[in-house]
Amino acid sequence: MVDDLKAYDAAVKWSPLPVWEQAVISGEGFSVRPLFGLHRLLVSDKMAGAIKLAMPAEKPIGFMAETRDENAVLQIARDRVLMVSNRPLELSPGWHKQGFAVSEASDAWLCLELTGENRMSVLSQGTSLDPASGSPSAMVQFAGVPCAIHQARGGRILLHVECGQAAYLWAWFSGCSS
Amino acid sequence: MLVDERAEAGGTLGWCDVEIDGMGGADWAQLQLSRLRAAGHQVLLNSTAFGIYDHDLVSVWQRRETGGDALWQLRPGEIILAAGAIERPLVFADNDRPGVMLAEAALFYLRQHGILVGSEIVLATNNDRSLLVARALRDAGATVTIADLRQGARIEGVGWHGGIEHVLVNGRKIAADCLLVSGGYTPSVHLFCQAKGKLRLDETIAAFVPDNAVNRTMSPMRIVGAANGEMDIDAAIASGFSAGGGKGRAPAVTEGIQRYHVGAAWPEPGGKTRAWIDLQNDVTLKDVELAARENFRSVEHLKRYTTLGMATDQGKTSNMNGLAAMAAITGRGIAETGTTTYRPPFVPVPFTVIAGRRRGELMNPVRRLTLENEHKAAGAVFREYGGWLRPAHYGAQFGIEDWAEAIQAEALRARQTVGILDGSPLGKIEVMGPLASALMDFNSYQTISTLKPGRIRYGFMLTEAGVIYDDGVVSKVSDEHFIVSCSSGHVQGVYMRLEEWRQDHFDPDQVYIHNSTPQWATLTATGPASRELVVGLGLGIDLDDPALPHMSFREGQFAGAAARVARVSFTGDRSYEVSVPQSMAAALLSAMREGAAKLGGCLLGSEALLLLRAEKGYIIAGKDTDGTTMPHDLGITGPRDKRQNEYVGKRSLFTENAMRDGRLQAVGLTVDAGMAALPTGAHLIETVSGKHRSAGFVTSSYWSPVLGRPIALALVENGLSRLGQSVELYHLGKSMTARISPVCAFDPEGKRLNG
Repeated sequence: MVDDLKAYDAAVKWSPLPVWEQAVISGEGFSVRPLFGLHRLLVSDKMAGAIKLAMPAEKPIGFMAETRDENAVLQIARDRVLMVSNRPLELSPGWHKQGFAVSEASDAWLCLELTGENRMSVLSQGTSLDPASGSPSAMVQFAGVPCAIHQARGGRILLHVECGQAAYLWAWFSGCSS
Repeated sequence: MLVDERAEAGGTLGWCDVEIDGMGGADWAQLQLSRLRAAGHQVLLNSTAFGIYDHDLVSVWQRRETGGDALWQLRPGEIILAAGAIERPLVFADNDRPGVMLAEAALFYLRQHGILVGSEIVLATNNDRSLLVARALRDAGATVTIADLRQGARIEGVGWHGGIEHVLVNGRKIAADCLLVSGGYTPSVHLFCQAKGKLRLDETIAAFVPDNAVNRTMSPMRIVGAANGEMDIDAAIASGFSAGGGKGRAPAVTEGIQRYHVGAAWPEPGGKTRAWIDLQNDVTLKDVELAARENFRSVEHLKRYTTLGMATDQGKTSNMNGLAAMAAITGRGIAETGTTTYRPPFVPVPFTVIAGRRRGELMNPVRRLTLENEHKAAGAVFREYGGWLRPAHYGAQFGIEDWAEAIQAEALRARQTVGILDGSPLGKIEVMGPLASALMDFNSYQTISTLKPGRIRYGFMLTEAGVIYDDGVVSKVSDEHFIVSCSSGHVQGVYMRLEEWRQDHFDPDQVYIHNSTPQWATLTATGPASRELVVGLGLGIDLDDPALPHMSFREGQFAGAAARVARVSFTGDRSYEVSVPQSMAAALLSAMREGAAKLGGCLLGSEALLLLRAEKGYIIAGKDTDGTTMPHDLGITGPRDKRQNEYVGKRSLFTENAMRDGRLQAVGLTVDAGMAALPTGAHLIETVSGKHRSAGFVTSSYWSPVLGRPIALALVENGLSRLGQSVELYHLGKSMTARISPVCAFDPEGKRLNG
């Protein structure tokens, strides 16, 4: 068994991990790039008290709901949201006596921005959900991995993917046609 | 969009002699396609709509000559279903003989392929549509004898010797070389029913048709033609025209109208010979009778008991006959007997079509480390561990290419000074809320709630069968906040188990589970110089042993970001797990490597880690345990003997099987000096009455660089009470011997944890 493994490097099976700071995909009528500088909190809260404290201007949204910009409270389970903000969020991690739990999640996800006139065609290759109808949950299976997806004004589709699976999704987008 | 499963649209217009608006049916169909295309509509030929799913998602398999087949997923505003009907066979003795065919199949062969299926043909039918077939075959030169079941004809058998010689009709032998049968047509209502449409029995055509009065679908679906029970061609054309919003005069069928006029001809139970109902799965009328005798009388039970309708045709030619037979046997009506549930796909669909681009590296992707590029730059060779791509070794740091030598060098250096391991995939599952303590105790073999804040406890998570599902450590932040650090490969599983019990056994508003594993990068420093290395990171934590004893943790900061330092050890040496946000991982690794370089340390890959933990007898769940291993098989009996409260798996620990003699127990194996390492998977052999039997197997085996000899772990029957015994092992034709020893081969007193 050891002899069989001497020269085997499993890394050859997989596309190289992108250097995210420089990564961009330019397809026919669409492009994809990572967005940085977002603050995220994972919050479990049945009564929405945490949202009132941290992002009072926002309401929980689902799949392909439109927001003004990257700021969003993404409903990802019946009693769970992913808060996303381009400013620091003022909620400490841990259990809050008001009845909600908070975990730091800024680095747990990578946000990919999909733009371009053919962005909807690309989106439809990853999910059979109807973008026009949306869904109460922003967390959907996209190209086979869970992604929280909404859109921001100006034709920007924002996909939040777990950082460990971001390279896979990047490889998937790289093979998209319009 | 028009979707047609054949290369030429129009269905039976392709082989039935029909004239529409003065044109041949096939030509008329082609004309309609041209008009559709000219108007900008999409036409998919050679395409099968094989399923309607939630919210009217329609899946279509498009077969293409080049570029590979395609999967279309459509969300139509309206659906017009013109799926036609499928001819069904008659059920009689010898109906499975070659030479017995469906009547319309013979017409298809004649018109599409120029083949005359016989010269002396008997056509047994219960409907006038078969007269179309008879006429065409006679015009082609065949002799056709019609046996009309509506007139009392009974097919009693087929004389066969290398081919059909005669057909027995009402006791009379009719010479024939082919028997065509038609038992009527079954409307193709599959897609309609997948969309939750309801059916009703139309006795006039002896078929189930859409019950349009109670039809309930999410979007407007209209069913036309034979699929709606409109068996006559002129009625089908008219209803299609109307459903499509046609204006003015509907297309007129000017020739070829043949009224259906069917008379039901269902199987008659009680016969002595075999009559086949499902020709694919070889289900006979007698099988249906047996199912009824065994009380499998519902159609769903009939289906599973006999496999009627479970082959690739999914009962398209057999379901009606089968349920009619069951209805007759049980004295119920066909409507009362009902149909089985219609499920997609309508036809078998290749997995490659559904997979689409999800092949190669897109098929079953691994998770990737944030620091993968840094590891590559350091010369790492990668393997896949628990769904992650991780460094197996860094032989390049020693100038070593050989896999085995690299692992040995890393393991030895870590024991001598310090090794740095990227442990980021290790689970970090947060359990938070007033019921967090209770949930943790319920899901753990060991009591967790008694931990003090800032302390860590090792424990097992059991299945309900009492088997070890995972082992890991739990850190207590507060009574309302725990962090479960489980095996990298079990993160999703542990998370789901905790979530399941949270929802099913506790007030879900009082405890929440967050999988925070992706947020944190964890780098481990292990070895005698590990404390010195971590001190050099400037984390703002008192790292003296009294302040940070083994199995404790503290919060600090690294370069202004949150950092958590936990003293846990998977190697048996003093170790520190430093966790920082992923965005700080590169900076932390750089700082640790700088510190390690000054101490003569090294990077540590997963393979060396596996070796180090095996030297200490630290198990890996699923490698050193199997699907039967319970905690007491590892010698850990305290919670089983002392805990009073309930926990998952508790009761299974006291079953007869759990307490029996001869259970596989975790032990070490030692070999004589000069011997090679035992092969992993080698079986312990005992000879009983001259026959060999396995009494256990090797689960882990390595050459220990620090001990200078092989070490191994194994699961052995009654192993814990057999320490010191010599045993025989067998592997791939070779025998070897070993001694059963304690699992811990190195530093059994545990002094190096604080050394």
